[in-house]
Amino acid sequence: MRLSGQLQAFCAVYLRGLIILKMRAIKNLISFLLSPALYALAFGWGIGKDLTVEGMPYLTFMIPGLIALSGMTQSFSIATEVNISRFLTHFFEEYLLSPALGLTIVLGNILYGMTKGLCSFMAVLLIGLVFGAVPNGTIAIILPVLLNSFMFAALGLWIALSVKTHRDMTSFQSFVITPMSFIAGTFFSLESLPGIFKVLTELIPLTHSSITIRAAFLGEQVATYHYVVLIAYALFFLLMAVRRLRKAVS
Amino acid sequence: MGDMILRLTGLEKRYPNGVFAVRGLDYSLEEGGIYAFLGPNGAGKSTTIGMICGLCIPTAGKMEFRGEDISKCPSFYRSSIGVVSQHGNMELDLSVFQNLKIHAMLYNLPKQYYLKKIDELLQVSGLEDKRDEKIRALSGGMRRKVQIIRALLHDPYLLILDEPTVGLDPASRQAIWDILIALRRTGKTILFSTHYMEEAHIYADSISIIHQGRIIKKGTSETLIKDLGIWCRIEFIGEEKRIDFFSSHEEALSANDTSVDELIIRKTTLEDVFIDLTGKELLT
Ligand SMILES: Nc1ncnc2c1ncn2[C@@H]1O[C@H](COP(=O)(O)OP(=O)(O)OP(=O)(O)O)[C@@H](O)[C@H]1O
Ligand SMILES: [Mg+2]
Repeated sequence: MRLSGQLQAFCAVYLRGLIILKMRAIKNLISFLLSPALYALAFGWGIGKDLTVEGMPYLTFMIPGLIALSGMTQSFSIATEVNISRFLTHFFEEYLLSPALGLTIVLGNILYGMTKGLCSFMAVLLIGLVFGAVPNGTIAIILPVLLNSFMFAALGLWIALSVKTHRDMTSFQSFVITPMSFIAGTFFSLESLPGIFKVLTELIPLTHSSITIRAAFLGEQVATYHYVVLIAYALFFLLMAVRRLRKAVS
Repeated sequence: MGDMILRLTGLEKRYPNGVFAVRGLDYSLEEGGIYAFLGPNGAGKSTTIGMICGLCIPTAGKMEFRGEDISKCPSFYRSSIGVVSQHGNMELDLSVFQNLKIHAMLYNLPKQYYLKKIDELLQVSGLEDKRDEKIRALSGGMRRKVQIIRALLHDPYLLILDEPTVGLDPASRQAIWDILIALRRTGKTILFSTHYMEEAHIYADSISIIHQGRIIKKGTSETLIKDLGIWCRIEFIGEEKRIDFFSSHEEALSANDTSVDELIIRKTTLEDVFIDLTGKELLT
């Protein structure tokens, strides 16, 4: 198939995602809003009311962290859907049987993950506004937000295509994704960590998302190297997902 | 039948858990024929079909499509085959039309073409009023028909069906076969697996009996029965039930057993061939 054919196949994969997203619109809306709202309520209002971090109200510090965290969770969640279609409905076979390139199928799914990530970004922004965290940056914040979603959608696909059962997927979530959400500069400043831990957090992809997203949210400058790391991770996960695609069979 | 369309040489599959599901399969399909894989549960039918479709990676062997190694032209090969897998691999929450449309887009079919073709195929299979119904809301027979329509949408040369009629009532089975027979008239090659004897007997030009990962016998229904060398089968029903096979008319007549209440005599069938070869009975 030529490029136009790949483009149409890409649209097919994305279309399936959009239909599902629209069909579960209400449920999705609640899931985009609920957990960030709870975090904002518990930590932002409850515990962190009179707290300042890096010279700003805790809530203002936390909202960009939540954008990164929610973006990760929502984009990564396509992994669960891929698992359902691999092990339960077997719909994934439809992709594997098709003449489309592995890259095409992977990118179509990633765009779906990114769409979910983008929805969650808007949801968290809204919650921030309700709780009084007004962004100070420009629309440029969209860049790290999209990179973050791309990266975790690609990671989700890679993992979903590598596991042998749905249970392995759940383990990955509780051993990798959940711990990552707390120690990646989302809820507390990494400045306060002792040296060795600080170096370790640098290895976590989400750390660079929260740093870049926070800087963009506050309208501050940030070292380009964080973007380089994000792009490197994104490309690596993409490559691994593509390599796994046609091997995700028995 | 025509040119060689698909050839498998020394095809093997050993699953990571050690199960040796397919043990060296040599097989070829000629254009325009209907081919059956007949075998009991666990014989290796789905594994073989999976390898032919690329959903299962062979541990040894070669597959050629029109003389070309399929790994050299995977995209061309994939658009040349239509697959109806054993589990109805459709998106349950999407409508019939949406499932078909996504398939058409994956295969890069032009929009005017696939809109027309979808309507045409839905009509032929009596599903035109189910176009916007979710797959979840369809019966097993209807789902299978949608799967077949989907596999035909991109007009493949070879249609591969893994137990297309399993779990369907006789009327639905007949409806599926009506579609397939009509298809054969257009020159398509069909490969299907089944454990229904009479399906293989009635519809297949070539039957391969698969047992424990090997093709143990191949031929037409007639040659398989003839090769068995049995003329008839008699069931003696008295105190006990006994079944005997006889190779000739005379031999059968000499088997007069006066102690029985009832005799059921019938000509040898494919089922007898099957039992003879595998030692297993298949329920039909
Ligand atoms: N994914 C797998 N991993 C390990 N073993 C498998 C796997 N799939 C099938 N097998 C084994 O391979 C053998 C052949 O199975 P296969 O599904 O090909 O049989 P089949 O002829 O299609 O049977 P059925 O009529 O029940 O569909 C069986 O022993 C089965 O247990
Ligand atoms: Mg099977």
